Amino acid sequence: MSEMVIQTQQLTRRYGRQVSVADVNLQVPQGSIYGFLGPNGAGKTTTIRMLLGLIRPTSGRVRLFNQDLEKNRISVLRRVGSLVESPSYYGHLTGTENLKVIARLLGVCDQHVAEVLDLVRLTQAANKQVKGYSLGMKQRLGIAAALLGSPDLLILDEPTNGLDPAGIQEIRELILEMPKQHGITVLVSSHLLSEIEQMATQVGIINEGKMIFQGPMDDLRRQSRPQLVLETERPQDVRNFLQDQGWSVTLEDGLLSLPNADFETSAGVNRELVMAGFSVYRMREVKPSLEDIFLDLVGKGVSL
Amino acid sequence: MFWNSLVSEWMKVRKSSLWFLIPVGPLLGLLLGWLNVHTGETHPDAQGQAEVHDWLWMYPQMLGTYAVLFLPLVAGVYASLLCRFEHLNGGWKQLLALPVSRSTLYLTKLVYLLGMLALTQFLWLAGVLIFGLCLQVEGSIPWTELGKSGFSGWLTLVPLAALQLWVATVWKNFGLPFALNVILAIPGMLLLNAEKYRVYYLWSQPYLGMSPTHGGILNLAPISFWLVLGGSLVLVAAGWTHFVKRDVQH
Repeated sequence: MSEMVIQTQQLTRRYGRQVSVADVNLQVPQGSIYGFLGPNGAGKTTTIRMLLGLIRPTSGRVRLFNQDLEKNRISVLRRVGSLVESPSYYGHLTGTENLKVIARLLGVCDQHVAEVLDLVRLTQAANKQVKGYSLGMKQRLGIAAALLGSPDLLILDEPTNGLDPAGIQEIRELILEMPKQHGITVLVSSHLLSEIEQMATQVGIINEGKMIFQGPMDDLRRQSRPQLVLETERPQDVRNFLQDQGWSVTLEDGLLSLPNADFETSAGVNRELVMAGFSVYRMREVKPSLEDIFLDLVGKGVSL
Repeated sequence: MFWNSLVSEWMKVRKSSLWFLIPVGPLLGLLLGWLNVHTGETHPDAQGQAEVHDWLWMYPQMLGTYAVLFLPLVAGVYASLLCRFEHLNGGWKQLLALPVSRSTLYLTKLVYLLGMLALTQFLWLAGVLIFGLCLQVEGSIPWTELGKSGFSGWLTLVPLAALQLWVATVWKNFGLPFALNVILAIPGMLLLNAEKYRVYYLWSQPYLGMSPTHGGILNLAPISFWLVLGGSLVLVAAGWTHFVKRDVQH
Protein backbone atom coordinates (compact mmCIF):
# COMPACT_ATOMS: atom_id res chain seq x y z
CA MET A 1 0.00 0.00 0.00
CA SER A 2 1.58 3.25 -1.04
CA GLU A 3 1.73 6.20 1.28
CA MET A 4 -1.12 8.72 1.33
CA VAL A 5 -0.23 12.30 0.50
CA ILE A 6 -3.69 13.61 1.30
CA GLN A 7 -5.93 12.07 3.92
CA THR A 8 -9.05 13.63 5.30
CA GLN A 9 -11.03 12.24 8.18
CA GLN A 10 -14.76 12.84 8.26
CA LEU A 11 -14.19 16.25 6.74
CA THR A 12 -17.35 18.33 7.07
CA ARG A 13 -18.27 21.90 6.35
CA ARG A 14 -21.60 23.49 7.05
CA TYR A 15 -22.87 26.90 6.06
CA GLY A 16 -25.66 27.58 8.47
CA ARG A 17 -27.99 24.66 7.99
CA GLN A 18 -26.68 23.72 4.60
CA VAL A 19 -24.10 20.95 4.62
CA SER A 20 -21.65 21.67 1.84
CA VAL A 21 -19.22 18.81 2.53
CA ALA A 22 -20.23 15.83 4.63
CA ASP A 23 -17.87 13.26 6.19
CA VAL A 24 -15.49 13.13 3.29
CA ASN A 25 -12.55 10.75 3.62
CA LEU A 26 -10.22 11.63 0.81
CA GLN A 27 -7.31 9.26 0.19
CA VAL A 28 -4.73 10.38 -2.32
CA PRO A 29 -1.80 7.99 -2.75
CA GLN A 30 1.66 9.26 -3.46
CA GLY A 31 2.59 9.56 -7.12
CA SER A 32 -0.97 9.35 -8.33
CA ILE A 33 -3.04 11.66 -10.44
CA TYR A 34 -6.22 11.85 -8.46
CA GLY A 35 -9.30 12.96 -10.37
CA PHE A 36 -11.76 14.68 -8.07
CA LEU A 37 -15.08 14.55 -9.82
CA GLY A 38 -18.53 15.88 -9.19
CA PRO A 39 -21.19 18.12 -10.67
CA ASN A 40 -20.97 21.85 -10.07
CA GLY A 41 -21.86 22.70 -6.51
CA ALA A 42 -21.12 19.18 -5.26
CA GLY A 43 -18.56 20.40 -2.74
CA LYS A 44 -15.32 20.02 -4.70
CA THR A 45 -14.12 23.57 -4.29
CA THR A 46 -15.11 23.72 -0.63
CA THR A 47 -13.14 20.52 -0.02
CA ILE A 48 -10.14 21.87 -1.88
CA ARG A 49 -10.26 25.13 0.04
CA MET A 50 -10.20 23.14 3.24
CA LEU A 51 -7.18 21.17 2.00
CA LEU A 52 -5.35 24.46 1.55
CA GLY A 53 -6.39 26.00 4.85
CA LEU A 54 -8.39 28.71 3.10
CA ILE A 55 -11.53 27.75 4.98
CA ARG A 56 -11.91 25.85 8.20
CA PRO A 57 -13.74 22.57 8.49
CA THR A 58 -16.77 22.51 10.76
CA SER A 59 -15.51 19.12 11.89
CA GLY A 60 -13.04 16.49 10.80
CA ARG A 61 -9.41 16.95 9.91
CA VAL A 62 -7.03 17.27 7.02
CA ARG A 63 -3.70 15.48 6.94
CA LEU A 64 -1.15 16.30 4.24
CA PHE A 65 2.09 14.31 4.12
CA ASN A 66 0.94 12.65 7.33
CA GLN A 67 0.92 15.95 9.18
CA ASP A 68 -2.05 17.74 10.61
CA LEU A 69 -2.77 20.79 8.46
CA GLU A 70 -4.07 22.99 11.23
CA LYS A 71 -1.02 22.47 13.42
CA ASN A 72 1.63 22.61 10.70
CA ARG A 73 -0.06 24.84 8.13
CA ILE A 74 3.03 26.71 6.98
CA SER A 75 5.48 23.81 6.80
CA VAL A 76 2.88 21.65 5.04
CA LEU A 77 1.88 24.34 2.54
CA ARG A 78 5.53 24.82 1.62
CA ARG A 79 5.24 21.45 -0.16
CA VAL A 80 1.95 22.24 -1.92
CA GLY A 81 1.31 24.18 -5.10
CA SER A 82 -2.27 25.16 -5.86
CA LEU A 83 -4.58 26.71 -8.38
CA VAL A 84 -8.08 27.31 -7.06
CA GLU A 85 -10.92 27.92 -9.50
CA SER A 86 -10.49 30.94 -11.79
CA PRO A 87 -6.89 32.09 -12.23
CA SER A 88 -5.47 34.54 -9.70
CA TYR A 89 -3.18 37.27 -10.98
CA TYR A 90 -2.11 40.88 -10.67
CA GLY A 91 -3.28 42.41 -13.93
CA HIS A 92 -1.06 45.48 -13.76
CA LEU A 93 2.09 43.36 -13.54
CA THR A 94 3.82 41.26 -16.19
CA GLY A 95 3.95 37.47 -16.06
CA THR A 96 7.47 37.55 -14.68
CA GLU A 97 6.57 40.16 -12.07
CA ASN A 98 3.54 38.15 -10.99
CA LEU A 99 5.75 35.17 -10.33
CA LYS A 100 8.41 37.25 -8.61
CA VAL A 101 5.82 38.50 -6.13
CA ILE A 102 5.13 34.88 -5.19
CA ALA A 103 8.77 33.79 -5.41
CA ARG A 104 9.64 36.37 -2.77
CA LEU A 105 7.04 35.04 -0.40
CA LEU A 106 8.20 31.47 -1.02
CA GLY A 107 11.82 32.45 -0.60
CA VAL A 108 12.60 31.04 -4.05
CA CYS A 109 15.29 32.61 -6.22
CA ASP A 110 14.26 34.59 -9.29
CA GLN A 111 16.07 32.19 -11.60
CA HIS A 112 13.38 29.64 -10.91
CA VAL A 113 10.78 32.06 -12.29
CA ALA A 114 12.22 31.77 -15.80
CA GLU A 115 12.26 27.99 -15.51
CA VAL A 116 8.59 27.61 -14.63
CA LEU A 117 7.61 30.18 -17.26
CA ASP A 118 9.42 28.05 -19.79
CA LEU A 119 7.73 24.91 -18.49
CA VAL A 120 4.27 26.37 -19.18
CA ARG A 121 5.49 27.92 -22.44
CA LEU A 122 4.96 31.53 -21.43
CA THR A 123 8.50 32.76 -22.00
CA GLN A 124 7.39 34.76 -25.04
CA ALA A 125 4.74 36.66 -23.11
CA ALA A 126 6.74 36.91 -19.89
CA ASN A 127 7.18 40.68 -20.12
CA LYS A 128 3.64 41.56 -21.09
CA GLN A 129 1.04 42.76 -18.61
CA VAL A 130 -1.12 39.86 -17.49
CA LYS A 131 -4.38 41.74 -18.02
CA GLY A 132 -3.72 41.31 -21.74
CA TYR A 133 -3.30 37.53 -21.45
CA SER A 134 -5.88 35.12 -22.81
CA LEU A 135 -7.69 32.92 -20.31
CA GLY A 136 -5.52 29.99 -21.27
CA MET A 137 -2.35 32.00 -20.68
CA LYS A 138 -3.61 33.18 -17.30
CA GLN A 139 -4.40 29.59 -16.40
CA ARG A 140 -0.90 28.50 -17.42
CA LEU A 141 0.55 31.35 -15.39
CA GLY A 142 -1.44 30.02 -12.45
CA ILE A 143 0.09 26.60 -12.96
CA ALA A 144 3.53 28.17 -13.19
CA ALA A 145 2.86 29.91 -9.88
CA ALA A 146 1.77 26.61 -8.38
CA LEU A 147 5.01 24.96 -9.54
CA LEU A 148 7.23 27.80 -8.36
CA GLY A 149 7.91 26.34 -4.93
CA SER A 150 8.90 22.93 -6.40
CA PRO A 151 5.96 21.27 -4.65
CA ASP A 152 5.50 17.59 -3.86
CA LEU A 153 1.75 17.96 -4.24
CA LEU A 154 -0.14 19.94 -6.83
CA ILE A 155 -3.78 20.80 -6.20
CA LEU A 156 -5.59 22.05 -9.28
CA ASP A 157 -9.24 23.04 -9.07
CA GLU A 158 -10.96 22.95 -12.46
CA PRO A 159 -7.76 23.91 -14.29
CA THR A 160 -9.34 23.52 -17.71
CA ASN A 161 -12.50 25.48 -17.01
CA GLY A 162 -13.28 27.86 -19.84
CA LEU A 163 -10.39 26.75 -22.03
CA ASP A 164 -10.63 25.83 -25.70
CA PRO A 165 -9.82 22.24 -26.75
CA ALA A 166 -6.20 23.09 -27.57
CA GLY A 167 -5.75 24.72 -24.18
CA ILE A 168 -7.34 21.74 -22.45
CA GLN A 169 -5.00 19.39 -24.28
CA GLU A 170 -2.00 21.48 -23.29
CA ILE A 171 -2.91 21.52 -19.61
CA ARG A 172 -3.59 17.81 -19.70
CA GLU A 173 -0.15 17.11 -21.10
CA LEU A 174 1.41 19.29 -18.44
CA ILE A 175 -0.41 17.42 -15.70
CA LEU A 176 0.54 14.03 -17.13
CA GLU A 177 4.22 14.98 -16.97
CA MET A 178 4.11 15.85 -13.28
CA PRO A 179 4.29 12.44 -11.61
CA LYS A 180 6.51 10.96 -14.29
CA GLN A 181 9.15 13.65 -14.57
CA HIS A 182 8.98 15.43 -11.27
CA GLY A 183 7.51 12.87 -8.89
CA ILE A 184 4.68 15.22 -8.03
CA THR A 185 1.36 13.91 -6.80
CA VAL A 186 -1.55 15.71 -8.45
CA LEU A 187 -5.12 16.26 -7.33
CA VAL A 188 -7.20 17.68 -10.15
CA SER A 189 -10.88 18.44 -9.94
CA SER A 190 -13.41 18.62 -12.73
CA HIS A 191 -17.10 18.31 -13.39
CA LEU A 192 -16.44 16.41 -16.60
CA LEU A 193 -15.36 12.80 -16.46
CA SER A 194 -14.04 12.97 -20.00
CA GLU A 195 -11.36 15.41 -18.88
CA ILE A 196 -10.17 13.29 -16.00
CA GLU A 197 -10.56 9.93 -17.68
CA GLN A 198 -7.45 10.19 -19.80
CA MET A 199 -5.05 11.16 -17.05
CA ALA A 200 -6.31 10.08 -13.65
CA THR A 201 -5.04 6.94 -11.97
CA GLN A 202 -7.35 7.41 -8.99
CA VAL A 203 -10.84 8.86 -8.85
CA GLY A 204 -13.02 10.28 -6.16
CA ILE A 205 -16.60 11.19 -7.01
CA ILE A 206 -18.43 13.62 -4.81
CA ASN A 207 -22.08 14.55 -5.00
CA GLU A 208 -24.10 16.77 -2.71
CA GLY A 209 -21.16 16.90 -0.36
CA LYS A 210 -20.81 13.14 -0.03
CA MET A 211 -18.15 10.89 -1.46
CA ILE A 212 -19.96 8.30 -3.56
CA PHE A 213 -17.02 6.52 -5.11
CA GLN A 214 -13.31 6.42 -4.45
CA GLY A 215 -10.69 4.12 -5.83
CA PRO A 216 -8.43 3.32 -8.77
CA MET A 217 -9.69 4.38 -12.16
CA ASP A 218 -9.66 0.72 -13.20
CA ASP A 219 -12.18 -0.12 -10.48
CA LEU A 220 -14.52 2.45 -11.93
CA ARG A 221 -14.02 0.98 -15.39
CA ARG A 222 -14.80 -2.48 -14.05
CA GLN A 223 -18.18 -1.19 -12.99
CA SER A 224 -19.11 -0.87 -16.60
CA ARG A 225 -20.61 -4.36 -16.78
CA PRO A 226 -21.80 -5.26 -20.25
CA GLN A 227 -25.50 -5.88 -20.83
CA LEU A 228 -27.19 -8.14 -23.33
CA VAL A 229 -29.63 -6.31 -25.57
CA LEU A 230 -32.19 -8.12 -27.73
CA GLU A 231 -34.38 -7.03 -30.56
CA THR A 232 -37.24 -9.45 -31.24
CA GLU A 233 -40.77 -9.63 -32.61
CA ARG A 234 -43.55 -8.98 -30.08
CA PRO A 235 -41.14 -7.75 -27.37
CA GLN A 236 -43.83 -7.64 -24.65
CA ASP A 237 -44.68 -11.28 -25.12
CA VAL A 238 -40.98 -12.12 -25.16
CA ARG A 239 -40.48 -10.27 -21.90
CA ASN A 240 -43.33 -12.12 -20.23
CA PHE A 241 -42.08 -15.39 -21.63
CA LEU A 242 -38.52 -14.85 -20.41
CA GLN A 243 -39.67 -13.63 -17.00
CA ASP A 244 -41.78 -16.76 -16.64
CA GLN A 245 -38.61 -18.74 -17.37
CA GLY A 246 -36.86 -16.96 -14.52
CA TRP A 247 -34.65 -14.48 -16.41
CA SER A 248 -34.37 -10.98 -15.13
CA VAL A 249 -35.22 -8.86 -18.11
CA THR A 250 -36.36 -5.30 -18.74
CA LEU A 251 -38.11 -3.76 -21.69
CA GLU A 252 -37.40 -0.23 -22.79
CA ASP A 253 -38.15 1.43 -26.14
CA GLY A 254 -38.90 -1.95 -27.69
CA LEU A 255 -35.50 -3.28 -26.66
CA LEU A 256 -35.08 -6.06 -24.14
CA SER A 257 -32.04 -6.03 -21.94
CA LEU A 258 -30.48 -8.48 -19.52
CA PRO A 259 -27.90 -7.39 -16.92
CA ASN A 260 -25.45 -10.07 -17.92
CA ALA A 261 -23.86 -10.77 -21.29
CA ASP A 262 -21.73 -13.85 -20.68
CA PHE A 263 -21.80 -16.79 -23.13
CA GLU A 264 -24.10 -18.87 -20.94
CA THR A 265 -26.80 -16.20 -20.76
CA SER A 266 -26.59 -15.34 -24.42
CA ALA A 267 -26.76 -18.95 -25.55
CA GLY A 268 -29.49 -19.83 -23.03
CA VAL A 269 -31.80 -16.98 -23.93
CA ASN A 270 -31.28 -17.54 -27.60
CA ARG A 271 -32.11 -21.25 -27.32
CA GLU A 272 -35.29 -20.65 -25.31
CA LEU A 273 -36.61 -18.03 -27.73
CA VAL A 274 -35.92 -20.03 -30.84
CA MET A 275 -37.46 -23.16 -29.34
CA ALA A 276 -40.56 -21.17 -28.37
CA GLY A 277 -40.85 -19.90 -31.90
CA PHE A 278 -39.99 -16.20 -31.36
CA SER A 279 -38.02 -14.53 -34.14
CA VAL A 280 -34.84 -12.95 -32.83
CA TYR A 281 -33.71 -10.10 -35.08
CA ARG A 282 -30.60 -9.01 -33.26
CA MET A 283 -28.53 -9.82 -30.18
CA ARG A 284 -25.73 -7.63 -29.00
CA GLU A 285 -23.55 -6.76 -26.06
CA VAL A 286 -23.74 -3.16 -24.81
CA LYS A 287 -21.09 -1.69 -22.56
CA PRO A 288 -22.01 1.53 -20.76
CA SER A 289 -19.42 4.28 -21.11
CA LEU A 290 -17.65 5.72 -18.08
CA GLU A 291 -19.78 8.80 -18.54
CA ASP A 292 -22.90 6.63 -18.16
CA ILE A 293 -21.51 5.17 -14.96
CA PHE A 294 -20.62 8.59 -13.64
CA LEU A 295 -24.06 9.94 -14.40
CA ASP A 296 -25.56 6.80 -12.96
CA LEU A 297 -23.60 7.20 -9.72
CA VAL A 298 -24.41 10.86 -9.46
CA GLY A 299 -28.02 10.14 -10.32
CA LYS A 300 -28.19 7.53 -7.59
CA GLY A 301 -26.73 10.03 -5.20
CA VAL A 302 -29.47 12.46 -6.09
CA SER A 303 -32.22 9.93 -5.52
CA LEU A 304 -30.73 9.09 -2.13
CA MET B 1 9.83 36.44 6.40
CA PHE B 2 8.35 39.82 7.15
CA TRP B 3 10.96 41.51 5.04
CA ASN B 4 10.20 39.20 2.10
CA SER B 5 6.56 40.06 2.45
CA LEU B 6 7.32 43.78 2.43
CA VAL B 7 9.43 43.41 -0.72
CA SER B 8 6.76 41.29 -2.37
CA GLU B 9 4.13 43.92 -1.62
CA TRP B 10 6.45 46.61 -2.89
CA MET B 11 6.53 44.93 -6.31
CA LYS B 12 2.75 45.29 -6.50
CA VAL B 13 2.62 48.81 -5.12
CA ARG B 14 5.51 50.14 -7.18
CA LYS B 15 3.71 49.65 -10.47
CA SER B 16 0.26 50.71 -9.34
CA SER B 17 -1.60 53.93 -9.86
CA LEU B 18 -1.55 54.57 -6.12
CA TRP B 19 1.30 57.01 -6.49
CA PHE B 20 -0.74 59.41 -8.56
CA LEU B 21 -3.33 59.55 -5.82
CA ILE B 22 -1.06 60.42 -2.94
CA PRO B 23 -0.60 64.08 -3.92
CA VAL B 24 -4.34 64.53 -4.47
CA GLY B 25 -5.28 64.89 -0.79
CA PRO B 26 -2.57 67.42 0.09
CA LEU B 27 -3.15 69.39 -3.15
CA LEU B 28 -6.91 69.69 -2.61
CA GLY B 29 -6.24 70.57 1.01
CA LEU B 30 -3.80 73.29 0.00
CA LEU B 31 -6.21 74.68 -2.57
CA LEU B 32 -9.06 74.97 -0.08
CA GLY B 33 -6.64 76.22 2.55
CA TRP B 34 -5.48 78.92 0.19
CA LEU B 35 -9.09 79.97 -0.49
CA ASN B 36 -9.68 80.10 3.22
CA VAL B 37 -6.66 82.25 3.88
CA HIS B 38 -7.80 84.72 1.24
CA THR B 39 -11.49 84.92 1.88
CA GLY B 40 -11.64 83.90 5.51
CA GLU B 41 -11.56 86.04 8.59
CA THR B 42 -9.02 88.77 8.58
CA HIS B 43 -6.15 89.04 10.92
CA PRO B 44 -7.13 90.99 14.02
CA ASP B 45 -4.49 93.61 13.28
CA ALA B 46 -5.46 94.09 9.68
CA GLN B 47 -7.70 96.81 8.41
CA GLY B 48 -9.99 96.01 5.50
CA GLN B 49 -8.30 93.45 3.27
CA ALA B 50 -7.20 90.10 4.54
CA GLU B 51 -3.53 90.05 5.20
CA VAL B 52 -1.20 87.21 5.80
CA HIS B 53 1.04 87.68 8.74
CA ASP B 54 3.02 84.99 10.47
CA TRP B 55 3.09 81.23 9.95
CA LEU B 56 1.18 80.27 13.05
CA TRP B 57 -1.64 82.56 11.99
CA MET B 58 -1.76 81.12 8.50
CA TYR B 59 -1.38 77.41 9.22
CA PRO B 60 -4.55 76.80 11.28
CA GLN B 61 -6.53 78.69 8.62
CA MET B 62 -5.38 76.28 5.96
CA LEU B 63 -5.77 73.13 7.96
CA GLY B 64 -9.51 72.67 8.29
CA THR B 65 -10.74 70.80 5.23
CA TYR B 66 -7.58 68.78 4.86
CA ALA B 67 -7.51 67.47 8.43
CA VAL B 68 -11.24 67.02 8.89
CA LEU B 69 -12.18 65.58 5.55
CA PHE B 70 -9.39 64.69 3.16
CA LEU B 71 -7.09 62.91 5.58
CA PRO B 72 -9.69 60.43 6.84
CA LEU B 73 -10.93 59.92 3.29
CA VAL B 74 -7.54 59.19 1.78
CA ALA B 75 -6.85 56.70 4.58
CA GLY B 76 -9.88 54.76 3.36
CA VAL B 77 -9.00 55.12 -0.29
CA TYR B 78 -5.44 53.87 0.27
CA ALA B 79 -6.71 50.92 2.27
CA SER B 80 -9.15 49.98 -0.48
CA LEU B 81 -6.51 50.32 -3.17
CA LEU B 82 -4.00 48.22 -1.25
CA CYS B 83 -6.55 45.42 -0.94
CA ARG B 84 -7.75 45.87 -4.50
CA PHE B 85 -4.68 44.07 -5.85
CA GLU B 86 -6.06 40.91 -4.30
CA HIS B 87 -9.78 41.63 -4.62
CA LEU B 88 -9.65 42.22 -8.37
CA ASN B 89 -8.56 38.86 -9.74
CA GLY B 90 -8.82 36.22 -7.06
CA GLY B 91 -5.57 37.21 -5.38
CA TRP B 92 -6.59 36.32 -1.84
CA LYS B 93 -7.01 32.61 -2.47
CA GLN B 94 -3.61 32.44 -4.10
CA LEU B 95 -1.87 34.59 -1.50
CA LEU B 96 -3.38 32.89 1.52
CA ALA B 97 -2.64 29.37 0.27
CA LEU B 98 1.07 30.23 0.28
CA PRO B 99 3.25 29.16 3.19
CA VAL B 100 3.14 32.59 4.79
CA SER B 101 1.35 33.44 7.99
CA ARG B 102 -1.75 35.51 7.58
CA SER B 103 -0.49 37.85 10.30
CA THR B 104 2.55 38.67 8.19
CA LEU B 105 0.36 39.53 5.22
CA TYR B 106 -2.01 41.68 7.25
CA LEU B 107 0.75 43.61 8.97
CA THR B 108 2.43 44.16 5.61
CA LYS B 109 -0.68 45.89 4.32
CA LEU B 110 -0.88 47.94 7.52
CA VAL B 111 2.75 49.03 7.22
CA TYR B 112 2.16 50.22 3.64
CA LEU B 113 -1.04 52.00 4.60
CA LEU B 114 0.63 53.86 7.46
CA GLY B 115 3.67 54.55 5.29
CA MET B 116 1.54 56.11 2.59
CA LEU B 117 -0.24 58.25 5.14
CA ALA B 118 3.13 59.42 6.45
CA LEU B 119 4.13 60.32 2.91
CA THR B 120 0.86 62.22 2.52
CA GLN B 121 1.57 64.22 5.65
CA PHE B 122 5.05 64.92 4.38
CA LEU B 123 3.70 66.22 1.07
CA TRP B 124 1.18 68.36 2.92
CA LEU B 125 3.86 70.00 5.05
CA ALA B 126 6.08 70.51 2.03
CA GLY B 127 3.13 72.12 0.26
CA VAL B 128 2.44 74.40 3.21
CA LEU B 129 6.08 75.48 3.27
CA ILE B 130 6.14 76.27 -0.43
CA PHE B 131 2.81 78.08 -0.12
CA GLY B 132 4.02 80.16 2.83
CA LEU B 133 7.28 81.03 1.14
CA CYS B 134 5.41 82.13 -1.99
CA LEU B 135 3.13 84.36 0.08
CA GLN B 136 6.16 85.72 1.86
CA VAL B 137 4.76 85.03 5.28
CA GLU B 138 6.49 86.97 8.03
CA GLY B 139 8.70 85.47 10.68
CA SER B 140 10.80 82.35 10.86
CA ILE B 141 9.44 78.96 9.90
CA PRO B 142 8.05 77.19 12.99
CA TRP B 143 9.65 73.84 12.29
CA THR B 144 8.76 72.31 15.65
CA GLU B 145 5.08 73.19 15.46
CA LEU B 146 4.79 72.02 11.86
CA GLY B 147 6.63 68.76 12.55
CA LYS B 148 4.51 68.11 15.61
CA SER B 149 1.36 68.84 13.64
CA GLY B 150 2.38 66.43 10.88
CA PHE B 151 3.29 63.64 13.26
CA SER B 152 0.28 64.09 15.48
CA GLY B 153 -2.02 64.07 12.46
CA TRP B 154 -0.45 60.83 11.35
CA LEU B 155 -0.78 59.26 14.79
CA THR B 156 -4.45 60.19 15.07
CA LEU B 157 -5.03 58.53 11.71
CA VAL B 158 -3.84 55.14 12.92
CA PRO B 159 -7.17 54.01 14.42
CA LEU B 160 -9.05 55.29 11.37
CA ALA B 161 -6.65 53.53 9.03
CA ALA B 162 -6.92 50.31 11.04
CA LEU B 163 -10.70 50.35 10.74
CA GLN B 164 -10.51 51.10 7.02
CA LEU B 165 -8.04 48.29 6.43
CA TRP B 166 -10.27 45.87 8.29
CA VAL B 167 -13.25 46.89 6.18
CA ALA B 168 -11.21 46.89 2.97
CA THR B 169 -10.03 43.31 3.46
CA VAL B 170 -13.62 42.17 3.89
CA TRP B 171 -15.51 44.24 1.32
CA LYS B 172 -14.61 43.69 -2.27
CA ASN B 173 -16.72 46.67 -3.24
CA PHE B 174 -14.86 49.94 -3.45
CA GLY B 175 -17.83 52.21 -2.71
CA LEU B 176 -18.96 50.69 0.57
CA PRO B 177 -15.83 51.47 2.61
CA PHE B 178 -15.80 54.94 1.07
CA ALA B 179 -19.40 55.58 2.06
CA LEU B 180 -18.72 54.35 5.58
CA ASN B 181 -15.75 56.66 5.72
CA VAL B 182 -17.78 59.69 4.69
CA ILE B 183 -20.53 58.83 7.14
CA LEU B 184 -18.01 58.62 9.98
CA ALA B 185 -16.21 61.81 8.95
CA ILE B 186 -19.32 64.01 8.91
CA PRO B 187 -19.92 63.98 12.69
CA GLY B 188 -16.25 64.91 13.05
CA MET B 189 -16.97 68.04 11.06
CA LEU B 190 -20.10 68.85 13.02
CA LEU B 191 -18.35 68.33 16.34
CA LEU B 192 -15.47 70.68 15.53
CA ASN B 193 -16.97 73.57 17.42
CA ALA B 194 -18.28 71.45 20.26
CA GLU B 195 -15.22 71.58 22.47
CA LYS B 196 -16.80 69.38 25.10
CA TYR B 197 -17.54 66.45 22.82
CA ARG B 198 -14.96 66.56 20.07
CA VAL B 199 -12.26 65.16 22.32
CA TYR B 200 -14.16 61.87 22.45
CA TYR B 201 -14.71 61.32 18.74
CA LEU B 202 -12.00 59.50 16.80
CA TRP B 203 -12.73 61.29 13.52
CA SER B 204 -12.20 64.68 15.14
CA GLN B 205 -8.73 63.81 16.33
CA PRO B 206 -6.70 64.44 13.15
CA TYR B 207 -7.85 68.05 13.17
CA LEU B 208 -7.20 68.49 16.88
CA GLY B 209 -3.82 66.81 16.63
CA MET B 210 -2.75 68.93 13.69
CA SER B 211 -3.85 72.25 15.18
CA PRO B 212 -0.84 73.79 16.89
CA THR B 213 -1.55 74.42 20.58
CA HIS B 214 0.75 74.74 23.48
CA GLY B 215 -0.84 72.17 25.68
CA GLY B 216 -1.66 68.51 25.82
CA ILE B 217 0.23 65.56 24.43
CA LEU B 218 1.10 66.22 20.79
CA ASN B 219 -1.55 68.95 20.67
CA LEU B 220 -4.12 66.53 22.05
CA ALA B 221 -6.02 66.60 25.28
CA PRO B 222 -4.88 63.61 27.39
CA ILE B 223 -8.25 61.92 27.00
CA SER B 224 -7.99 62.23 23.21
CA PHE B 225 -4.46 60.92 23.21
CA TRP B 226 -5.40 57.81 25.15
CA LEU B 227 -8.50 57.37 23.03
CA VAL B 228 -6.32 57.37 19.91
CA LEU B 229 -3.88 54.86 21.37
CA GLY B 230 -6.62 52.61 22.71
CA GLY B 231 -8.62 52.89 19.50
CA SER B 232 -5.55 51.95 17.48
CA LEU B 233 -4.88 48.88 19.57
CA VAL B 234 -8.46 47.68 19.51
CA LEU B 235 -9.04 48.28 15.80
CA VAL B 236 -5.71 46.85 14.67
CA ALA B 237 -6.28 43.78 16.82
CA ALA B 238 -9.85 43.33 15.58
CA GLY B 239 -8.99 43.61 11.89
CA TRP B 240 -5.96 41.39 12.34
CA THR B 241 -7.72 38.57 14.18
CA HIS B 242 -10.61 38.66 11.78
CA PHE B 243 -8.23 38.40 8.83
CA VAL B 244 -6.39 35.48 10.41
CA LYS B 245 -9.58 33.55 11.15
CA ARG B 246 -11.82 34.28 8.24
CA ASP B 247 -12.85 31.95 5.45
CA VAL B 248 -11.44 32.82 2.06
CA GLN B 249 -14.17 32.47 -0.53
CA HIS B 250 -12.86 34.67 -3.32
